[in-house]
Amino acid sequence: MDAVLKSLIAIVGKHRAIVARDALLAWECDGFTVHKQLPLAVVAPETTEEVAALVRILHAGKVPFVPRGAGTCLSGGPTPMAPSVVIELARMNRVLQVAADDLYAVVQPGVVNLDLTTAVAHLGLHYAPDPSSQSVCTIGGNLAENSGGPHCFKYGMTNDHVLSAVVVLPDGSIAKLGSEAGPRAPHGFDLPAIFCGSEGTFGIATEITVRLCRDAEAVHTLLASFGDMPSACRAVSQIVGAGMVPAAIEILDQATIRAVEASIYRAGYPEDAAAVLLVELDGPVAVLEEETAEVRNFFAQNGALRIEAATSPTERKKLWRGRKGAFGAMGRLNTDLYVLDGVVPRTKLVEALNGIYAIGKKYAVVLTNVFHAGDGNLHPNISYDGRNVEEVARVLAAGREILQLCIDLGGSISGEHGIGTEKLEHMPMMYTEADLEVMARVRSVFNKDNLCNPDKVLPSRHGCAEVAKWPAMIARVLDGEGQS
Amino acid sequence: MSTTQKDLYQQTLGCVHCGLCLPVCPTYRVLGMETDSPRGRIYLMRALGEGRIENLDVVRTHLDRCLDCRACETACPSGVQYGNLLESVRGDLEQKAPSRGLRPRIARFMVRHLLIHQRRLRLAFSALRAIEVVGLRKLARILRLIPRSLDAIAPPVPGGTQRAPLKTGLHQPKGPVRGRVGLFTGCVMEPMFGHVNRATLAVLLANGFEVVIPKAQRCCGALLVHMGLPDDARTLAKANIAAFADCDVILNNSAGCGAALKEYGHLLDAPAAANFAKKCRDICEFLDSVGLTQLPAARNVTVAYDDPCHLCHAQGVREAPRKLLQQVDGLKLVAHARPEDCCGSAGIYNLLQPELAAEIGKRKAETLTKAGAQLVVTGNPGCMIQIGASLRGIGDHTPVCHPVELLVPPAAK
Amino acid sequence: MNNFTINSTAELIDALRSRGDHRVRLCGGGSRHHAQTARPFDSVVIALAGMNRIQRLEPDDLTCSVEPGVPCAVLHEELAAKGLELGIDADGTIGGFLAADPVTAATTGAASARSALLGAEAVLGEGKAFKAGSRVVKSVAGFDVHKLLIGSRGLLFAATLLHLKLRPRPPAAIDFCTDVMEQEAASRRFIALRSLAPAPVRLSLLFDPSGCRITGRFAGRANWVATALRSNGVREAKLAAATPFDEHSGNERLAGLVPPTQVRHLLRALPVGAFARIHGNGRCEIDLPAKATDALLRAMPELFVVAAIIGGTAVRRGQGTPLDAGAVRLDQGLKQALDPQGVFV
Repeated sequence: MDAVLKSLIAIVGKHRAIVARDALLAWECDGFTVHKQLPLAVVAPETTEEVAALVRILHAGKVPFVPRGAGTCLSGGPTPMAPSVVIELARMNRVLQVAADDLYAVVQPGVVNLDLTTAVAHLGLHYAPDPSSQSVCTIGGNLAENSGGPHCFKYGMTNDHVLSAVVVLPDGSIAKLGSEAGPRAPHGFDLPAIFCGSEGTFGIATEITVRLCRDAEAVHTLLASFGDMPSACRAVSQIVGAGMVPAAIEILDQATIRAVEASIYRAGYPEDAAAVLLVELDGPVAVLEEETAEVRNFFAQNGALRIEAATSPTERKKLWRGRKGAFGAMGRLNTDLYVLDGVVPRTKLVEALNGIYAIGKKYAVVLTNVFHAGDGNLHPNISYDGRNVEEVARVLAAGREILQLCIDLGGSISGEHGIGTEKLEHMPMMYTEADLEVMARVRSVFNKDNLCNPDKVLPSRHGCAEVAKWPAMIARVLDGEGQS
Repeated sequence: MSTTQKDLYQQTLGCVHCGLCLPVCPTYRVLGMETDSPRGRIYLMRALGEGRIENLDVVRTHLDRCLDCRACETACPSGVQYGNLLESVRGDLEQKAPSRGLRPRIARFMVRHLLIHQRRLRLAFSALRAIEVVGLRKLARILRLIPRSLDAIAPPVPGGTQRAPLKTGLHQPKGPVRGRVGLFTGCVMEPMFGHVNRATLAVLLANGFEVVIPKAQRCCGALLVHMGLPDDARTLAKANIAAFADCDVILNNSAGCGAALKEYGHLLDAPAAANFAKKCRDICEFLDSVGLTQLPAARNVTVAYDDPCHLCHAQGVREAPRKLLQQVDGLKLVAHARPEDCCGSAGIYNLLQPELAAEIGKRKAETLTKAGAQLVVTGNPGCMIQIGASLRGIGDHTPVCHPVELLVPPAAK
Repeated sequence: MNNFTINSTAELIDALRSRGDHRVRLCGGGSRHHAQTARPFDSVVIALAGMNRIQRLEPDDLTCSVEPGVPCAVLHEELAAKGLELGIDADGTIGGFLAADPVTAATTGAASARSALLGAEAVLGEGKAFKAGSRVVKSVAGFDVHKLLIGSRGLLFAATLLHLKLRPRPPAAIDFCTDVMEQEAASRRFIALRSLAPAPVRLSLLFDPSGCRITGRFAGRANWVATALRSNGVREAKLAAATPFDEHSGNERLAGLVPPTQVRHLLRALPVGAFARIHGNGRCEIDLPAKATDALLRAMPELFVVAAIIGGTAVRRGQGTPLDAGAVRLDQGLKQALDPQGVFV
């Protein structure tokens, strides 16, 4: 092991390697803080060649490794399962090429999502997928997780924006998937599509070509509060049913509204609001004027308590304030925040929410809902104290039951956060053994020796000890629920 | 765990590990390492509180790299008071085991025995000038005794009359009196940029304010707090509270001092200190709130305004300086990228972390050069030095000044 | 050994298990997209045309689940009746279309086979049934094995149920075209139209011996569509592309990927007698006499064009510009992993 570490340090140099045990603590978790694992070392390469050299050594030494971007993942994607070497990609943050006429950019994996948009803004272009963490998260991480965001309803997920990627495969060889002109050669398979969303288990993308989108002529944001949730959901159905494709459709539930209003993110929502609906439209001005009027109509028809509209960036920011501050407001309620992620068909939203509230009540957890209403992607937030083992178990049990509810309603256990370590044990709820076995076959093509981000996404019998403990923890709580 | 430790530990728990602070952290932007980001540092401080740290020096290495620019506080959705947390932990560590090594020791010496004594500091600057004159500086540079940005200090050391101390006591405006304010002159601003203090005085007088400059005022103590020496800082704070006892408004023109003065309540934990803190205002913050009655002299110039961290992040003052500059006839404000990023000055950071400070300064200079302004304006002496030196480092000789210098009315010149 | 026509997943699994030593050529409704290479003499055809039910259509969720043998024409009609669309110019059967992923006139950002396919149920050559993805518009649970169907030419697995993403049908749509232009001007115009926001939903540069024309479609609100037409100096017209290609003409068809800024170089390199259709999403098709194909293929890499022969004599199909060696290894690895016995040909 020492020899391997020595060779790794020889490649990146001492100042780009961390081996001190205490310093490594900083890498023991990502945005999903329930699961923690201390890495063996951290190395920070700057070029494709350095990544390949590091991976070759790790592969030869049979040492597991985990790629990491900004560590904003909410499912434990960049947190090792067993002691591993973390390959920190934040230093690979150069935009290598901007092809404005061809509408693409080539970037290193550590380029921050919003920094790419900033870098091409003067050309009237932007990078469309916008996870809530877009000011921090990296394009490499987005590619690994197939990230979404509020604007994915109209513009699609990361998968729809990746043209090609140079990747270092887990054996240290380099492959180029797709091409700048398009993802799939006429005589090849769609490799970028399968690589995207592999959660860092198929290799490390070191040069990523993404599509750039032309900025819309104008953006209009509308916000309405409703006295009940079904009215808000009905308004959404009518908007989409009328043939409009808004850039974003977001809803905050009553508990979120109260948390926001009680925090420094106070947005001035009416006290009796049970749902706040935010609709953003983009496009040519003439179109927006018509659509805004129609959306207002649908709001009014469904008994909106108050309607606000904004067109200038500062005013729009004000309307987004409550939505953007929702996580922070929830975070202030307790020491830890568990941001769940599940999807249901949009027509099942109300049913799903009622089920989620019942589950929250059953496990006595503090729970609120913020969601991408356009695509039925729910984000129940549970605020809790991570030091209280019993409470953590209740939180996890509630999470599991919420995901089962999503599946029962015909949805999915993750819309944009990924499986990582968080939902390993939930995969069999959604997929059969045969489904998982076929996925494992595909993984073996890329990651034969299971060294690259091992034991993620697909549950394995010899998985992480801590994750393996969860079902027992959950069972204890479930058994004890009658007594408490 | 002691009570203070428990308290600190509680504060670290406010962090939900979302990472929104990462992209605004100057050291993370340069180093790309979790340990050199606010989230990583908070995590290490939390581990410290949980007793999981085996080697204090490892943690100290990363805490020491922090500029304390507070950009992370602006970005934090969970409201973690990072600055307070860091300063307290630094103090805690310093008590347990003072940092070793030549640089921290020189720094400690400088801060404790030089910087906080106005007269000695003045002497030191004169000595620097003398060194320059007799050519010893080259030698010092070769021996790497002077860090690069300190190296750039000597030229602006003012000569002649401006080197004489600003007259203390009460200054009366010529016209009708709108109010009365105290002026905190700052121990770097006065010897290094005496003209800024004189411009401040002129603007206040011209706009109808009586200005009191108490003789008994002392260093604000910010650097001591940053270095983990809060006890020394408390002595100074008490002296300042006494010196400004009869002022209802206490103005300063050094953002770093301003932030420290506004935090006396936290430092001393006494009602008098909290009351003092409430009366402190940055000069731009104050002028913007009361409004200029005398319009500044017209200037045909393009200006880039760079936010000092301790003004925008620590005091939340962002629009006031810009609004004031826009009242200068003929002046054109141009935008540059990331104006709220730290320039790398951060007190004596460039002495303690010369390589990092140089890299952070270079990035700041590069964005400013791109903006192509004729004049860079910022409201903190440390930033004025660092930005000026960094610009010169990349071959850009754009001058740097304080916003108040552009606010002097024609009659008062 | 007879060929099979399948009506259900169970029948498909039975057929795969009773195929003996025969290899299998999957076939949708028998449309042209699937005629890739010559079928080996020892193979049987399994036609999925009988699996032609629309199992689920949820207008409000913007999703549907269809069997692979559903004719696209039927699906388009069903969707149109509900004010919806797939957003892709699919023809033949839906399964055959996705597996072939042929060149269509779509532009960048428009719906594609890849974005439309949300999940699938499928059967491996060995007879094992599995599913991947989901039937909701957004899911990142597990690896997207279903996306490998796109362009797989039936070589990896047989899809038995497809979950598709739908979109509201725009209220108005107008096909437009430009006048005949010379290459340089057409190439510039093509880049400009492609960069519009919102961009035309279809966009193609048509090249034939008479010159270049650009054709496309604006879709959206009626008043905007009319404005877009006016302000971009194009006129309303539906153009049919000319082609000298048919199965017996002795001509060949190349499909490829070309970055828009390289279009002018590609046009210049085209041999006499070539016809080309270059689309907004970077995909292109070139019809040309067989004897000119090889020379053009050799020149392609220098033009940053990836291309392969997709039409003409069966033995030459699939031949193309060299692909990245690492990517080729992964392609082969996927075939080996999902179809280790080499059932599908």
